[in-house]
Amino acid sequence: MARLIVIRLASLLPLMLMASLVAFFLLQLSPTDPAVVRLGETATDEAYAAFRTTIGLDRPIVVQYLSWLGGVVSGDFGSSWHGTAPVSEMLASRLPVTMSIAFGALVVGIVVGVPAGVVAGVRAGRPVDSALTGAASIGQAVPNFWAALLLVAFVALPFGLFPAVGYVRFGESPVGWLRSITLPAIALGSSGAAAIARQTRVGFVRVLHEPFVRTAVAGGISRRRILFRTVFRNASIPLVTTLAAQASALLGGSVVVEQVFALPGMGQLVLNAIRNADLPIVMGFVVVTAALMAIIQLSLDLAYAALDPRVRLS
Amino acid sequence: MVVQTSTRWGQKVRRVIAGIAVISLVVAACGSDDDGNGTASPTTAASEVTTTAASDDTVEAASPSGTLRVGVPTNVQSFDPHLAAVAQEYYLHPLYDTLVRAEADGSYSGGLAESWNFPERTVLVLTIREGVTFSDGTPVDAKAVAANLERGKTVEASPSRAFFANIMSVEMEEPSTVRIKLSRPSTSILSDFSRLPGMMMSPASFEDDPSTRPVGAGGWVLDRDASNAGEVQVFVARADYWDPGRIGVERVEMRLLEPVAAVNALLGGQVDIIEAPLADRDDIEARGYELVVRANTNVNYIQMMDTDGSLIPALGDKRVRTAMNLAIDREAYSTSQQFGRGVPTPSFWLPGTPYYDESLEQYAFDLPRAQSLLAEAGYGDGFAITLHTFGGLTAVAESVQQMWTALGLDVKVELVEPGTLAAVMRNGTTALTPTVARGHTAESHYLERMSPGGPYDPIGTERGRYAELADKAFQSETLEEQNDAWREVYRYAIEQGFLMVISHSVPAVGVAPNIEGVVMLPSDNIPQPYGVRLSD
Repeated sequence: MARLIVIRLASLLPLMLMASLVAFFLLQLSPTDPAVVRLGETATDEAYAAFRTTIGLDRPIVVQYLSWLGGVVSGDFGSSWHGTAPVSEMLASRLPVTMSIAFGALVVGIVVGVPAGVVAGVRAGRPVDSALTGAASIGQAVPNFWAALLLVAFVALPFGLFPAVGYVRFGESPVGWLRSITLPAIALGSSGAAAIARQTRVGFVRVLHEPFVRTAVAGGISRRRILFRTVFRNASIPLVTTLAAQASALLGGSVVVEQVFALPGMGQLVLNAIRNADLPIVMGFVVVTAALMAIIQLSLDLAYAALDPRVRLS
Repeated sequence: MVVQTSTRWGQKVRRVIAGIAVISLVVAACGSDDDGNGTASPTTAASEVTTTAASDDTVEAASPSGTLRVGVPTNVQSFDPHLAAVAQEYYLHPLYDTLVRAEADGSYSGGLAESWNFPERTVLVLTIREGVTFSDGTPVDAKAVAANLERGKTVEASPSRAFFANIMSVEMEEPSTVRIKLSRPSTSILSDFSRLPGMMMSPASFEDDPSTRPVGAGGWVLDRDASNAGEVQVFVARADYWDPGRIGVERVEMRLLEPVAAVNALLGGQVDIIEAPLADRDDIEARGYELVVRANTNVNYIQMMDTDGSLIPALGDKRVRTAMNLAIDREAYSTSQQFGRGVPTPSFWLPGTPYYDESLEQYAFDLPRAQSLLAEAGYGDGFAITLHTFGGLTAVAESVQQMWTALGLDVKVELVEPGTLAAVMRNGTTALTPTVARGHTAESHYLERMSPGGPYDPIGTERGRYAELADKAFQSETLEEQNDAWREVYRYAIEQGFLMVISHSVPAVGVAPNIEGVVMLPSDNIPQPYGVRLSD
């Protein structure tokens, strides 16, 4: 297993290289001129040209890419074209924010989705199943941003228990941190909870009809033991796939939720960077995200092996 | 000029207009006064202005206390006044005092320069206030001011490049006197010196990246440890600021917030001041927050690049351009798009301001007359035009599309990528475009947007007497002549259909009930923290 982990981690390098290459050349298609973004619409043509020279846009594209790559290899992601801080510093300060709400959303998804799916699966075909399946359908249909706006309007503003906007760092105040990520995590995790509930239900219904479950029941094993040792473990394999997919989707969904709650996360950073054609930030984001995705996939493989003895890592 | 909360927006607009009328009277009164106090007569030869030394000396300065939390719409790009974008001036105000202070009523008073005079139309002499220091202890003197202006001239990638290009030379006459020689007369140099070009940096900071390590002579300094790029910038009050009466809060936080989040943050008590979106102003007021408005407007207008029909032959006919102007229903636009909070006039300048010309009201909405003029010009069957637009201007473009379609034109709206509209307007193939002017002076708008041969005249079209009239404004001997000349420039531009006003919108901020002393100056989108206090 250790060898596999090393190999998979090593494969990150070509993956990130490829992702950065594609992202860099796609960004060249953007018609947004960073000089106009930076200097405003009324600057002189000479000022625009000088700014483009300052940030190296007067060089051939390949040279620009190699220059950026050379910086990354030496640990320098460059500086924002429109900001006051190095890209690595900006990403480092924002990654914990995004990871906080993504992790919170995943917790919401598991805490709400798994029990709901178990109950629905065990009570399949009964009213409680219909109710939970219906609720899951609604949960999946509600866009994250709308859920976020509803939470702000009907929870944050009237009651004041949770802030409508802003983020508190864990180191500053653990309670403040929890309050600041609760509503964003619920908004982001609601659709995930619905997907997890549906997948859990399907898994339980399928496994409950397997011959080995009937055998276990006939053998006199307790219902609780069958459900949580036999059924749950077998039903969990597709659930892990769903969780991995949710983890990836959470990074995308966080872009919108961070905007509504004004959270200074990666999503907000990259959205502004794309608007402003701030290439160094977008490239830094691509590299970090590619690495995160690869790590999630690796975790998924390891989880498969842990859950299913038939799966062998090699 | 602060307009307090009231239930009727119409009353507020009237108050704004009345306020602006007062400004014009003040300016006009001082224009004939060679040694008038506190206002500017920029091109009046031999005029001299001496201003007050500091904020109201009769009021004992209370110690600054509390934190002022401001929601701002854009991220800071640079703290260097020579590199910062105009739209982000608010980030720099706490850090830098300006040579000249703009007042809410449109006048100017002394800042780091306690007085000034214009011995010639192209010469400005500043007398620098004594005893003022930058936050690093370096004295603010004529040498420092000259060094700043010289540096501004050398920064090529500067949004203020056009301003500095007009400075021929800067001479230090005495330790506290600076003589600035201009290439051509300027009618807005005092306004410019109240904005980015007038923000003075410590010369000792020039080599130490003022973009991230600013050192100014303002009331606050940047707290780099507490700030986080793209999230919040924190400023802490200086104990040794020269005018302590203006510093009411110990700490200023500027937090980056999208418009929807900003409103939620204000209503949730997480910030004290935000830019108030038009759609939310009723709600903000209804919940007991104050709306503080600016005494000059942002103007949405159609800018004509193709003034002689080089690209679209029909536009070469003045009757066609007039018809298009007459077909703009400003009342309907104000009602539908501005929630009744706009000022529907075809004039580029509001009633009551020095450049307003009542005769331009003849270009108010009149569709039958517009159709008649179009037919008279031989374009009764219309012609095709394309309006390029993006973001917030899209609603403007689509409204105009409807209005001109009713006139009989075939109007297409084409979205462009954010940040590319200026390039589209300047690429030589775009005939006309909806755009917006913010915090402008007559001179800056003319030079940056309208002047023949300027950045927005890429194909060098014929513009009649336009340049000649503007030159008359630049050469004016008195303020009265100057006002008359600019009034004529803008009357000509509208009569000729070079610009067609769609709407005026009054910028406003929403302010929490516990905040006092908020004032919107003529160029502010976000109010400056000077004079703001937290009530008990």
